[in-house]
Amino acid sequence: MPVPTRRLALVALALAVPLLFVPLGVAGALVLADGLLVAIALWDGARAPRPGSLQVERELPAVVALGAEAELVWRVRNPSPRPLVVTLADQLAPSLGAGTRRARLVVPPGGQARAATTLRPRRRGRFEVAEVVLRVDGPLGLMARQAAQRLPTTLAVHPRYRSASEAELRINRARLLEVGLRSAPGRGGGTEFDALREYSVDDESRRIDWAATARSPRAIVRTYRAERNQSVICLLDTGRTMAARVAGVPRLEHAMDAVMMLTHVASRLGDRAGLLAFDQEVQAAVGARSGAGQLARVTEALYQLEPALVESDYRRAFTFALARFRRRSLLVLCTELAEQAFTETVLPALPLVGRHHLVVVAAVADPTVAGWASSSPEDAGATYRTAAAVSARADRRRVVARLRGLGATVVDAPPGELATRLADAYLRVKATGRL
Amino acid sequence: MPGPASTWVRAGAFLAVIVAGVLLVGRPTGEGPPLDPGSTGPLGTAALVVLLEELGAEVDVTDAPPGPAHDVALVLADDLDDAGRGELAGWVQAGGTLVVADPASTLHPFPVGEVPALGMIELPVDTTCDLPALAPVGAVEPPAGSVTYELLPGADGCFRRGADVYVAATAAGAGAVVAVGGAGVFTNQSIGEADHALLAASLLAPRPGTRLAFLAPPAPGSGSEGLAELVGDNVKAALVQLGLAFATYTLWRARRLGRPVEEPQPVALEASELVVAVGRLLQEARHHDEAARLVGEDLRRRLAERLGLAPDAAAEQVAEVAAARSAIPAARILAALEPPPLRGADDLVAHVTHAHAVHEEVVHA
Repeated sequence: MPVPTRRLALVALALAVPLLFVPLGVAGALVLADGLLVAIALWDGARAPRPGSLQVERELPAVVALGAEAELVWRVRNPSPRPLVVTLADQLAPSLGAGTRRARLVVPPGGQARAATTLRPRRRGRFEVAEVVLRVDGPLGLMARQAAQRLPTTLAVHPRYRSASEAELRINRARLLEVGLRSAPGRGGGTEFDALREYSVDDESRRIDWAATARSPRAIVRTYRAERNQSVICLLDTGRTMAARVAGVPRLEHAMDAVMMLTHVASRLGDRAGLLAFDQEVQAAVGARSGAGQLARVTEALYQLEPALVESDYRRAFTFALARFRRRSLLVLCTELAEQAFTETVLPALPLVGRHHLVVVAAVADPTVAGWASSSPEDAGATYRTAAAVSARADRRRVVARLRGLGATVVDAPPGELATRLADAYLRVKATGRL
Repeated sequence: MPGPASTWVRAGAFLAVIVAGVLLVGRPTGEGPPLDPGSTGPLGTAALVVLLEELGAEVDVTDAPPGPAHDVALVLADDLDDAGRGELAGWVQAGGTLVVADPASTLHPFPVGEVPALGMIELPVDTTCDLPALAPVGAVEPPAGSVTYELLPGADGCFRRGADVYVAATAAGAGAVVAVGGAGVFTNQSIGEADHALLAASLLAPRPGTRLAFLAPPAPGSGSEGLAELVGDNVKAALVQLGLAFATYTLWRARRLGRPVEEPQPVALEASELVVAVGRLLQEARHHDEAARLVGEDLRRRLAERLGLAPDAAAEQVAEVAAARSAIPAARILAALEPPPLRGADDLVAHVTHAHAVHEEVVHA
């Protein structure tokens, strides 16, 4: 479709000056000047090549992590024998945070030109980028042709993994404890026999193997290592309660960070980590596996999940978990400690999984509510709000107490601490051999 | 920040001040329009009429062209249509003397001469004169805005400025046309200066009994031409071209380069909103006793935990232990743990403040 250009508007504007001095009358001057201009513009538009005749490429990484940057490159090839001025607009969603979604290129005859921009995604998810709109100027730049070209691409924005450094710290510490470079009674020792070695002053005397010592000139101790190949299954609630924001981020994002850290630590320490995301239905499931690639698999399953404004069906999720993960596992339920939902759904269903699995319930606590509960209010409105905050925290404590009464471990931590405290809870379970 | 009502009041007051100012400054002076033969204001010409009548002339102020009985006709501002001008020209051909003081008029044939760069500067002219009728007139001081004319072949002129003259006269048939370089010399404020009165008398009442047709000048705002007719064709063409350029610009801007990208956004709801809502419900229902009980219970639990007591320890026990480990009287602590019935929100604020203070004192004791 032909489109006038800014240059055409400027030429039409400039024509007003000579019209002041040409004595042809109003109609005559306008017909002469604008008729000529329209004829030239139409000729120019006809000389512009069809946008569909240009070859356009878009280079875009398949995956970008939330908080990271990525470069998007457009390449336009000009098959015509004269230089072209091409303006393009890409179908980039605002949340991709592109520096620009438009570019203007001068493409040499028979050659190509490139333009680039930086993407800084502001939310995770799957982004379909379907088409590029091209506008090709005529030789005089007075008219242009515009059309869209299909160029479908998908960009996956993965969730932000804030606790990566904390995870590495815990993995390294656990390995140090495992090889006996450091002594930490009760932690990291594990319960699985590993090897015999000479006694050192840091060893506990109860670990001396007297039979081996009798056959040796020096004292010999038994070393143990943490059990491996155990299963850690994360049950991620994506229901309505996970949509609410804590510290400016939905609860689901905090829970995802915790799931990624737990998967990272467990899979690197030789255990098998899996995932089950659910609301009313099971939304995603990743089989329990170990190894470095498991974090990528879990992240791939996580990035498209959005909180659904529905009540989560915990019983259905537990039933699915029991059927899918038959081996005894550490079952980590990442959810919100909403008293009504827990009383009506979770607590009756918890014994179902508690018989076969070790259950940990992880939730993010709202520091804003905690602050209101412990503050000294200055007016009536703030006072009633303090009372409501105190009541909400009391409800939460009751839920935690009932969960613990049913044998579950509860990690109720503020944002920024949830992932690390959940990983620590896992390491404690592992060190004490409760699995 | 002012509200909408306050903004409207201010805008109305501002408008009223503007209207009052316009009415005060722009009110009619009561002196009549410029060049009006009945006006005694500085720009009126009543003095000219009185002068001519004193000299024995018979002055007819009229909108119609002069008739055969008139000897002289005076046009200070030409607002005649073509028919009127034709009648006037015919009257001159028949022997009348027409005095035109409107440089833009086509009733006289003289082109305007050189105009000073700044048109409002007065034109100094000399006293030379080719017309015997004006020989007695000495000095003339044309006021600002006056012009001089180029002298045509066969015409006579007076009061020169270079090659141009301030008064030019030429024969037309049996009559004559006299062009004066502006009506300013005939106004009330100028007619008494220099020899302007003598000039007027010589031109308009050369002898007693002269009958003068004073063509009334048009009232301000009258006439058949609109503002658009004051604009030249070239300027009109340029203005239309500007409109066309703007339309082209609009067409350029209207064609979007790529459609807007739709993107559903996730729900943004703060988790603490529920607590805020519950707090408002408590407040609107005036449940201050319930609110105080909740705060007291929370304080009891926190102190019990702090003091190493059982979580469900009685309030009295918590108060006693806390009093023993701090300098706070047990009764004061107990009042914070178990509040008496409250009368309203003020009591609740006082109670919660008290509970907070007790907690801080026990913790830091």
